[in-house]
Amino acid sequence: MLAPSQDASVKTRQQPFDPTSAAATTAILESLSDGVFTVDGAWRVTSFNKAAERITGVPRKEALGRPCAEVFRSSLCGAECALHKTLKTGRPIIGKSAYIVNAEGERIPISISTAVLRDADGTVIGGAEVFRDLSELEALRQELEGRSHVGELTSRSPSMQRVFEVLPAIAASSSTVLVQGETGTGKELVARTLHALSPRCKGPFVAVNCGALPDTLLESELFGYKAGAFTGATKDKPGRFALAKGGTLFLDEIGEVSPALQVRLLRVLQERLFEPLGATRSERADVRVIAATHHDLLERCRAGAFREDLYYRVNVVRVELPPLRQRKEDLPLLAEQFITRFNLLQGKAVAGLDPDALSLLMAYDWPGNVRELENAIERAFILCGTGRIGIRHLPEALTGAARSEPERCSGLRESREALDEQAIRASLARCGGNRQATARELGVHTATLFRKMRRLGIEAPARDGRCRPGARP
Amino acid sequence: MKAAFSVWDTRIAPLLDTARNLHLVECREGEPVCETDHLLADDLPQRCAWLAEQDLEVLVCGAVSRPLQEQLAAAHIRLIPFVAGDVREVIRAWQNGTLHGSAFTMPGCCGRRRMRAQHGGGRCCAARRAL
Repeated sequence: MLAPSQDASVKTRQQPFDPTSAAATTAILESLSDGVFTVDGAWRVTSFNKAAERITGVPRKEALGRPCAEVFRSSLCGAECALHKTLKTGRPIIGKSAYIVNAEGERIPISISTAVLRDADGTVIGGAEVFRDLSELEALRQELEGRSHVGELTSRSPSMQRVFEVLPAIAASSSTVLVQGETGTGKELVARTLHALSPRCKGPFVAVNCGALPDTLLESELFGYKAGAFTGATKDKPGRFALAKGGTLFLDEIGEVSPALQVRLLRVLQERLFEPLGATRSERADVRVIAATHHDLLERCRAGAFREDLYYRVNVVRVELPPLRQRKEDLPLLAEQFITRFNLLQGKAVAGLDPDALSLLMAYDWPGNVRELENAIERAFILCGTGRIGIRHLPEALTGAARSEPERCSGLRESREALDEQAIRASLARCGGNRQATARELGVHTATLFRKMRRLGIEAPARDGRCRPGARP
Repeated sequence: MKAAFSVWDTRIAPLLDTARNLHLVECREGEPVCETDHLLADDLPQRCAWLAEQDLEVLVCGAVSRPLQEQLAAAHIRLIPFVAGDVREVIRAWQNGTLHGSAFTMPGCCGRRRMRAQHGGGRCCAARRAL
């Protein structure tokens, strides 16, 4: 085997490398993957490296000596020129986002950094601009954004991603769908998304809240009636099944439907036929049914409150929506989405959530799920017109849940302590009072945990979790 | 006959997408009779709508992104893009019919201008051959 110095393919440098030499500077610039160009005092390009040629598509020989704006053609060229600002203030600009337009008219996203160029005596001789092609990053960002959105649904959590993956296939089929999830998890939004992605998207989407109407009214709402069917029925009234013809009928809170109406619904789902009240002939139900409930329908079947045959008719395909507390990683994204929407609707300029407010949102359990979050942000908009939403703008339910003291948390410190206390108490409960395990779970030293517990007035549990049942105290 | 030139300072603006100023030149019998300056709207569809109302023979500009090119084409605005140089010289060249010369082509855009010429312009190639 040849030693490296003996390998004929390896060319060794005869002279020592001088990093301060002009040749070395050129070699370094040429080897960079970022575009670099320099300008003189008249804004004419004096150097243009290989990466700059590649990113802009402008050959070096055409770039040298030309006004930099005509070579670079970025969205900042002109009044917003970053290099002009740097030369004016003497301060570099780092990582400013912009785009350039190449000869094909393509917009290439870039980030720009600028610096003043001085000679050996420190005299300003021009400026240097470094730019990075962000096309790949931008493509990745767009792909990720695409993955976190399906229709109007937004999520980055793995549990919702699994739902997103199956939604297009479910939408393409004509099967009845059961959407299950706690209140406020977005069951109707899923139904609307399924409709929008389905071949019936050009037809109507008709929603009925079965829990909001008394049984007799619900029956006439769903199936309609004929003139003379009952006192006051002076003319025909089409029901929701007829109104949703060619589209989708969303039956929200189907678990609330009475046993008598369950029988009628079963017939429609089985035979695709229904009779308006007072009608002598059946009508065809040309609808795709999506049902939703916050109940465990199987449990209600066992309890005799829901017909098992209807359950199996409805539960052809099931979509289960996780509660917000199980996908808290979506909280910042959802909050941002609501803030953008309310800014547009209310003409405000709220910049987002401040870190403490976000911590508080993350610590809360959200029994009302996404709807509760939306309401919390809407309420915050009443109190906050510009800047960032802080703890003081959030509802009492959140700030109250995060503290145990009866008195009001007035400052940042109190809020943090309230959060600490909540986290420690919850962790102690999970670890059965074992303080070592609690410290491990919270990622702090045992001594730190003890100190915090003392300061926050958290009493050590009578049994510390190391005691085994039956062991001697 | 009316022509528009996107302007920044004394030169053709490097990028039409972000240019703010437009110089309109109206000619009769080859001589300019009226020159006016206008501020362009930030909103691109608004810009295109305003340009479409000006009854322009041509819009001379620097680089332009494809989406904006398509919007301008939809508004039936004829474009001479990727032009660089001093505005007065560019106007003179447009009047003389020598704008398609490489002296006014943005760096790195010569191939593109030649390609445009093959699709009906013809003047860029002729000018290059003459040079």
